[in-house]
Amino acid sequence: MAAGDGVREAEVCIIGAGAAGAIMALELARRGIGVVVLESGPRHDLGRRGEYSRRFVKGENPWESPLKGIDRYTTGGSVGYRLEWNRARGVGGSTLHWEGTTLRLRADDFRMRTLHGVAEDWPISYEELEPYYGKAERALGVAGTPDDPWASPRSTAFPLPPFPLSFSDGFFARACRKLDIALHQVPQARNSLAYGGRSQCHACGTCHVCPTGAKASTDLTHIPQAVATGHADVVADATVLRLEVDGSSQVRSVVYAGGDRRERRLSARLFVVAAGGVETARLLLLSASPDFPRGLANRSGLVGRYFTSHPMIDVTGRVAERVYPYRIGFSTAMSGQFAMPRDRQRRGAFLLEFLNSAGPLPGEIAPVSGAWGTALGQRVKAEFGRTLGIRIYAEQLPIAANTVTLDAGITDYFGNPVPHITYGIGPYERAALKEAEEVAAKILATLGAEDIRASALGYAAHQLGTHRMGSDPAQSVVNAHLRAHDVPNLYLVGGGTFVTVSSSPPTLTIAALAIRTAEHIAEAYRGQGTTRRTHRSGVPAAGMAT
Amino acid sequence: MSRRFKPRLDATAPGVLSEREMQTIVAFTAVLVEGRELNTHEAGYVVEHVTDKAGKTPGYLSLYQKTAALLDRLAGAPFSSLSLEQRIGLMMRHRLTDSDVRIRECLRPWGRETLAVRALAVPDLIGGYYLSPAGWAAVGYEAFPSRCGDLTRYTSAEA
Repeated sequence: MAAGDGVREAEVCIIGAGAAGAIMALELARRGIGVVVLESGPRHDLGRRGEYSRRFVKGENPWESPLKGIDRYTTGGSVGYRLEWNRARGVGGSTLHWEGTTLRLRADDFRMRTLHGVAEDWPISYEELEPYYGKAERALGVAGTPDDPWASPRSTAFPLPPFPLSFSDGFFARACRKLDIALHQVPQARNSLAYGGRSQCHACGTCHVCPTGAKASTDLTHIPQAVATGHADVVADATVLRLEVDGSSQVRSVVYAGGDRRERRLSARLFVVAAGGVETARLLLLSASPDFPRGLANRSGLVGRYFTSHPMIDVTGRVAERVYPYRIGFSTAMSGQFAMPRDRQRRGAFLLEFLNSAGPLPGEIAPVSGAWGTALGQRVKAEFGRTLGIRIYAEQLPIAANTVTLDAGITDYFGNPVPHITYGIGPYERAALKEAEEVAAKILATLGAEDIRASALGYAAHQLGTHRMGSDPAQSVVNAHLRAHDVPNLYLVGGGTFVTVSSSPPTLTIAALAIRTAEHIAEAYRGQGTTRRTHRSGVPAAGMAT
Repeated sequence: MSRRFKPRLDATAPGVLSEREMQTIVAFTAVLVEGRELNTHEAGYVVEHVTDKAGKTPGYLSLYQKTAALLDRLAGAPFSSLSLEQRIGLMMRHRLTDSDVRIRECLRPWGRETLAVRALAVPDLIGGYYLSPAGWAAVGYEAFPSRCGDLTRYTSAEA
């Protein structure tokens, strides 16, 4: 590693420009608090998304980092949790590639111990978070309608009308009516109408890469606004290697580097780590010091523990009619019926997502059809578009044995130990998946589907629980405002703070929590009488001459 | 046992096909995927797929080169110079349209090149072509993943 450069200063240093980090940056900067965001990945210009989209359909991952080995990791446990395709490094973070599903958690989800005798309660309630959900929905531009009979009360309307149900949703709706299962719309951070300076969705079908910017991603929704305040700088290609503490257990500075591996320092009054459930935990572990021999903010020993995701399976069946799949890249209908009103002591909640894209593509049918020449096109046409699919997201309880630790035997691009992810599921999750599979199969059978089958067990691109919040410093890493129990000027935001994960995708909750934490920080600043207008910090981009 | 004897990609480096090799591959693919000459767009999809694969994935440059060499040799002339009917006839004679390679065929000491073309090149070229816009056109889609279109189209059956 090259020798260090001079120390730069900021008021607040945010590590990571994804959902949580970018939202924090905007919320602080618009209140006049100077922030510098250090983002490990590059800027992915919107103008290149068309090319990214074409690479994506060829099976390439356009979000892959250009720095060799930066995303290296190892796995253990009964289910090997893989990170490829399940996270993105860059300004926008995982919102660059997320599906855009923006469900709130339900009130019951915050009280698993009280209501069901399992896991722990959150230190905050749905009611406390509810106003922030509304703010997050407005900021991201969520299209939806309050038709989910199982959703908890909301005080604000969705900012955008919902996307209409799809042609194939009509099949599912018929079956669900017969089976008395409530089917409803999927709320999503995707423009059903032009919103926030971004275009309406154009049904490009590659939501993993949205070429138009109609899907909300924080590089488009939050970062430009934060920078426009004059109080935020975003430094791309700047990987934070460790945080350094002073004698009073406060973080003094971060050490970061770019592709040139040259170390630079940034000091700040306050630090926010928003690097995702894996990298936030890893960074804390990499920042061990005499004061924190087990890792920064890790006196509880819980940093990296309780790594949680959402186990998933797809159940598919073949129907006689054509269902016209692959015309949009997102789902428009789901059922939350099995997410709340049930005994969750012995089996998890689950969501049913009715897929608009299931079954083999023309390029998958053709080479195994046995046909060639003029007969081939006819064979493909006859085979294509007759598969319906239901995706199941199951709730997972926090399991202490599921962890993110350091693998000292393998190093990344910067020479740091890579994360080692140990992941598995238990009887609680298996019971939910078994029941969910039966429900999904019943829906498909009601439609007369044949060849009904379940996919192998998968997991969502959600990395949660690794620095969870709580009131007891022995049982949690951060408090209800996401401040580290052990380090007064350190906040840890993102999915790692989740105490339990419900069956809902986490991003809207991550966003709501980030807004709430930013408000808390701003109030603390006001209380100290230190809020002041700051100017751009002039922090150099990593890799640039300093 | 069967896996051991089935043709496999080698690990040779990616690279670029010559113009003549590419013409041969396009002429071969035309018979496989449509049974007719390809128009400029359709031929472009084949070229794009082959260029991508040969240039990025180890083993494919070599596979395509061996495929082109075999076809030219069997034709006794540049394969692409043959008429459509001649190409179809030649490919049927040598079973080069059939990617289903049986185990007993793998055990024979001769014809390994032909088997490699059937087992590896044929499904790859068919799959590559049908992953392109041509594949979506075959199922009646004008817009498809990566080609944006009308947002409301997904709500009803295709015309």
